[in-house]
Amino acid sequence: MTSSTPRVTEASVRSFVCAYERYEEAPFALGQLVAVREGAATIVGVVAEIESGPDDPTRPLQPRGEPGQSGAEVMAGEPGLRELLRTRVTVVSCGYIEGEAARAALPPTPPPLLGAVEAATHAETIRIAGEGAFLALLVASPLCDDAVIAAAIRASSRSFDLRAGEYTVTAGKELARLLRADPARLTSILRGVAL
Amino acid sequence: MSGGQRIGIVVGGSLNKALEVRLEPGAAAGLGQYVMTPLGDGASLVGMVTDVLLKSAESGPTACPPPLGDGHAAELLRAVLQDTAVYTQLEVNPYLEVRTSGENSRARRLPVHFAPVALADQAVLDSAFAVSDEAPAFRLGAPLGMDDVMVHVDLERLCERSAGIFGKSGTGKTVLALQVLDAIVANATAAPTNRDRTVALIFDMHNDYGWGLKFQGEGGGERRSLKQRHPSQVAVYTLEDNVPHTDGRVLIGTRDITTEDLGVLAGTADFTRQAVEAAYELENRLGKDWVDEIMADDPSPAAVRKIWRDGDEPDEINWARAASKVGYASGSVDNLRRGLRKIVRRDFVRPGHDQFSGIINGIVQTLQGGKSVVIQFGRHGSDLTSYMLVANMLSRRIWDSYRDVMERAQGEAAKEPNRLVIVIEEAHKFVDKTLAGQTIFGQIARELRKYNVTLLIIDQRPSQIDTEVLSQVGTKFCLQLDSDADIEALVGGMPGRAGLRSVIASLESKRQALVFGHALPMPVVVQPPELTANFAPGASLRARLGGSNGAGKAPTPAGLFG
Repeated sequence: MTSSTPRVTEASVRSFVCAYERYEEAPFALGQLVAVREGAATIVGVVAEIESGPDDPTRPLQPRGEPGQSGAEVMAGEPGLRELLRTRVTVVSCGYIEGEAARAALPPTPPPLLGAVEAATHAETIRIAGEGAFLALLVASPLCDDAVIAAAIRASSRSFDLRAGEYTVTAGKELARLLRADPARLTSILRGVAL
Repeated sequence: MSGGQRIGIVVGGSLNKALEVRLEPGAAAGLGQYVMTPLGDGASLVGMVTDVLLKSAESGPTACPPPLGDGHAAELLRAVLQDTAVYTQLEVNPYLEVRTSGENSRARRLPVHFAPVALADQAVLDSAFAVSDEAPAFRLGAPLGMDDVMVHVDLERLCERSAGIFGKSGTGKTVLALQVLDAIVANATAAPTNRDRTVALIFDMHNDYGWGLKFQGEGGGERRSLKQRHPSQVAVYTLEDNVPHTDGRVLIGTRDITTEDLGVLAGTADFTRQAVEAAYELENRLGKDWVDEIMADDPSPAAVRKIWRDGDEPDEINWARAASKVGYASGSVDNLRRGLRKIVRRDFVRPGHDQFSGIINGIVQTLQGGKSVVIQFGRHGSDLTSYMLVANMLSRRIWDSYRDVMERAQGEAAKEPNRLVIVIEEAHKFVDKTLAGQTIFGQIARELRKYNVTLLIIDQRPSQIDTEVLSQVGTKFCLQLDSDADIEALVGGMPGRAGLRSVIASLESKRQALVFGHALPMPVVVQPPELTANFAPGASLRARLGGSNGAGKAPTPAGLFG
């Protein structure tokens, strides 16, 4: 099965929601950095929530399938079912790239509706997440709990290859500055990073 | 001035206490090291690290520290908290404003917040400790952590006020003193006239400064001392008979001893205050033979006539009645006789003779002729009474001689005597709080250069020295000291003394000294050059034609001294 490209369905400068055309079994991962490369700037965000369910909330999905069948087997047996379902992803904006400038700050405008949302490249991730400054927006967002922030650091560290450990410490130090009054939360997040 | 390696930024502080410098991640600086920070007009503020503190930005990380162990989470937590939630801070005593023009001054300004702080580099220290090419300079050593830099002290400035070398036993006081004296003698050799020569009179308790020094450092053995290094510039006198490599013997006749010479012995020869007062009265009545008279079992007929001047002597005459006659208890005179008996028992004290004036004249002529003199005590060195008696008697008379010459000169520079530095060990015995007024050394320290005589005090208990005397010690070489009282005695009254206390307390047990005071623009922790077997005569003195300012271009200690 090939993944479709999700598109922006709700947008604000702080966050946006994108949806796949149908139910997607392998959507973006929690904490992954994604980008909308339409409009004046490329807007980069962190995946804060992923939810899948019926497209029409008034028609909830009923359990089905024979005993012993996997979910994929049930779905394959009823091809029309996938069309009634949808996967939605909530993204928290954490920066934008405008020409040569990459800023770990809120974008001046929201991403365009129906804009295509794609995984950020390693280069984009390094430019936005490199100094750990993007964490300030995550810490301030009510959509990001400790698990999201930890996942964001883990996910972005993969773009640094051999310097992943060094990057993790740099990001952790930025987090320590942001959470200097809340050492318990800092500890909780860093434990999540170290998983 | 660009400075050396950057180590942090200024985050607070005060001129009176210390500058607070937050260290950058991975940077380090130790106690006693110099740092510098720009002041904004091209000048740099130079100070010394006097404390290193581990600080916490919030109480959380220290109240709930990251767990021990080598798990990934624990390691990450520790790495993340380091230099964010917890960090290292330096306290820096600001001392000097250094300008590229060379017009340095005491620190009177502070840098702005967040000014960069760097380790002081060689150029800055060259400027801070610059000694004119024309001036003789003592090679003090390499500042802490800067092995390639040599700090110099203007020798004239060092000698123009009293100086002190302090440290507990085995820390290298003698080696340091030998290096200072080597520089003084080498400089005298180069001086064009006798008047320009600063000379030393050294009361050498343990035979260290004459022919050879029993070296206690690595490898042990013996090092050449002043007489071997500068045979024509040093005369050695001894209290013992038939000692090789000496120029004369010090003998004291009983007629030479005055009551003033006894006062200093109250502690060591057990003279009571009443005994010393009785001695004054008896010397007054009996004249120059008073010691020999008192040592007799009973008063001689001559003594009877002098004590009972109106002829009313009793039938039974003894010292108890004599004591009563002069107004003292018999116990006081008994105490005096017992103490004197201990003194005249020494083989350098000759009863009934007047020996001293010839020796004194010889020593004074030697000193004023531009030579230094070492008085070796030999086996008497462990006898504090002998040491104090001889040092006090000689110094008093030589001081009198210098004072007479100075007063006769009436301000005419050409007629003034050359400068004399008197070197005494165990100085606290001479200038302690009870004796400072009775010994000549207290007077010399107080009257400073008025008569061209100063002291070089070598001691391990500075807290026992009279505070007034200690306050007159211009330059202090402080090796390791353990006692808080001793450390406080040295730094009391100094700006930033709390920091200096911690620097002294952190000194290594050997060959590391904090030097501060009159001859230096700011305190410096140095490692004096090692006294190796091939330590050349005069190596402690920078060559006058050395370089632009010597400090930068001089060879390293290792290069010179192996």
